[in-house]
Amino acid sequence: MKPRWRKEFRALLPGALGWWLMAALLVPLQVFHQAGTFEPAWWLAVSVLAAAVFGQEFSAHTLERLLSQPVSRRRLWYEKMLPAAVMILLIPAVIILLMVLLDPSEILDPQFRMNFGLIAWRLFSVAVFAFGVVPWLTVRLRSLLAGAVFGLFLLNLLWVSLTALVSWGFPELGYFATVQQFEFSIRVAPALGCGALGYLLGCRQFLYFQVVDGRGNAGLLSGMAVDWQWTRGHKPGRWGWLALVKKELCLHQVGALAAALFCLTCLAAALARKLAPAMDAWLMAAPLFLYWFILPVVIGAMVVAEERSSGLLECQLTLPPSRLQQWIIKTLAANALLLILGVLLPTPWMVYLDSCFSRDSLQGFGWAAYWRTVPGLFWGAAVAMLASSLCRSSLNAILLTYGAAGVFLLGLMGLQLLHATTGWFAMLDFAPGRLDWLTDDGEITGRLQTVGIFLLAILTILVMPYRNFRRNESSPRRALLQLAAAFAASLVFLLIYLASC
Amino acid sequence: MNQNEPVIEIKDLVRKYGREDAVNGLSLTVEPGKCYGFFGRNGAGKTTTIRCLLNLLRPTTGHIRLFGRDPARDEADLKARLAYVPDQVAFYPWMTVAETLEYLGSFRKVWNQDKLHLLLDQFQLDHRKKAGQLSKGQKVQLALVAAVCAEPELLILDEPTSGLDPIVRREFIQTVIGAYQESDPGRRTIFVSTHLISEFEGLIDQFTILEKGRAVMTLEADAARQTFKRIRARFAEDPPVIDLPGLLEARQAGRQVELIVRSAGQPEKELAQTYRPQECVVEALTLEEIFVAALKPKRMPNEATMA
Repeated sequence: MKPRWRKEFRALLPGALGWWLMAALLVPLQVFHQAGTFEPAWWLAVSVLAAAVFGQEFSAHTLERLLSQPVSRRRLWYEKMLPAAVMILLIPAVIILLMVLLDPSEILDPQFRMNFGLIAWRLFSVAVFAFGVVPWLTVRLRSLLAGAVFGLFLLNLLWVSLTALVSWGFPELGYFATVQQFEFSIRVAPALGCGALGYLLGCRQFLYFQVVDGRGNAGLLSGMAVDWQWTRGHKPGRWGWLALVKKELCLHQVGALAAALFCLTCLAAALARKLAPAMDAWLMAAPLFLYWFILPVVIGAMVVAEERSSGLLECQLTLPPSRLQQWIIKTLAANALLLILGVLLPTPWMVYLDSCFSRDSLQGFGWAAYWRTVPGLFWGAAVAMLASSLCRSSLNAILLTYGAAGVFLLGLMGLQLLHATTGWFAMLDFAPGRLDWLTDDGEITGRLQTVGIFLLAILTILVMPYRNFRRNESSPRRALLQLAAAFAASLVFLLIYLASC
Repeated sequence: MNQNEPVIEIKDLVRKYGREDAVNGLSLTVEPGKCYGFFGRNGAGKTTTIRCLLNLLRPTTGHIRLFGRDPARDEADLKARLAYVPDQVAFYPWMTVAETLEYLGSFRKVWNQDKLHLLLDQFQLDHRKKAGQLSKGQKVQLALVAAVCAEPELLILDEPTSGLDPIVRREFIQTVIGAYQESDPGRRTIFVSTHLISEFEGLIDQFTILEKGRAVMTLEADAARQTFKRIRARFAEDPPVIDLPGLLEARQAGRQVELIVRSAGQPEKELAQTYRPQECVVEALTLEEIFVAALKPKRMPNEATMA
């Protein structure tokens, strides 16, 4: 294989391998058989991979070198996009192949064949959409992270808009002879069209791309290069603290923009409901789920790793405030931002949902569930901070957090399975009836206890990133070990709580 | 291309970032076979100009030609004839040195393997080491090795030696860059933007000093050394207030005065006739001193004598 092709495949291989592995783990659990549950994870997978195509050149600062090589830009574009197409489209292919291999007898069942076709189309259409649109966003925004996050939100926006369109224009199956035809026309075809348009826009963007830094439009995240003169120009004291707080808030631009995109999606969903009052309640709640899925991890992951990847961390550590002071400011600023963007901002949307839909139609997503999720947001941010304190880039921290959380959830599912088959877990009575704090009928004291458990877990986890920040070392292996320790600590707290109930 | 056609030709180049002018009406011509110095303070517009040359940035207005052709139109063909070392050298961290060189070589039709091995040995670069494990200086060495091994007609260097230690820096400039140019004199051109002017002193044939996006001065190096002079004059009594044509700076230490003068004539004779010093010594300035003198605000002679 030519070195250039090899390099492109090699650049995407670690991410793709991770997703293939995840797919291999999830297929036996029949996650992909139910449309809806796997979709956010699938969107994340393809968005990150598609953003990595050009995003890695930005994060490694190698794009200038690449563009100065004696090859036309059009050829460079194809040399990057062809391996990307193979790697991205291989994931749904792997999932489908595994589904068929694991239960070949089901292929004969006509119902399965119909569902299977829908699943395949959904997987491929999202992959094609991401393959076309996300590289364009990455080149446009000049950042891997921004490309991945905005790609994810665009996927969500498209999904909400298309479903609203379905509810508005075609409340019944109507003009379509089969469900597949309906699904293909309303969901898949526009996704493929957007993918194709994104591809053309991305190609044009790359052909006319200009290498700019330092003096102007260096990309969205260059704003994070913060006003260091301002920070340095103040002595440690009242104003020095303020300067650090300002710098920390500037650091979380991606989180703030994700919040803006969430607001836009909510507006789009509200407008869609005006047009189509019969719209599915779960669809209206979906933007909030996605937002909560992303926001705490993005905010937590930016805390240290973003400064490390842009080379600002060393400068930061030479500032007069002590590392403890800086860490406290970092933690407080991130959590304050999470409180504002993650808790207070979505509250009006929740009020709106509550006024529009009954609890049954929201499928258990009521106020109790809302407030129960809030401590989880801070817990997620603390875990992401831990990953951030040991990773070289925010994206690594984000992927590591999601990866570790995925493995943790799989472990929990395994425990449940073990309990169901052997009763091994009976000593803790790990039965749904005991987990009343997970339902809307839970007592207020139960909820407070839940918050207390989360708080203990968060404080335990936050000790580790401070230690890492003080030592200023980055090590993925240590990050994995510490994440495992953090999850184990959280699990222990949970089990102690369950045992004491 | 005509043998005498300029390698680089820039006319009235303007590049704006928003309302700010990064480059403002720059014109310069680089003849083949020359080593051209491009000097300026931080933020003067050097990197912007180089990026415009390489079509990494589109000029707001102005005219750029490389080997007589438009870099925006014939980008790939022109880049095959040049090599560029950016000011911020970066490589893919997962690649080894050997893989990096193989990758960079895959873009080239000409790739001198013998020179490559020679330079890797000379600079003790371990080809099995990952690029992510290299120090800043080693990355710069790797970038320079890759640029030289492509045997380009034009070598564009943007702050090429800023991360190198003094020994490697000198060795590289003299034995690698110098040898690169001497191996095919008259055809191989170097366009170098640097702050370490003294290191390139012997190599530079012509230079432009850039300030706030404008060319303050363009001179042949030898002509510049003849034009810019340092005159040390010792007086029997307190020195008088000296005012000579082309006087850029005057410094007094006791009865001795040191003058920096820009003059094509013989200012030392005028000084001797007008002010009658006891002793008068004339020295040529180095390029670095010329750079400083050209960009430093003028100090009035009376200020100098009052000091």
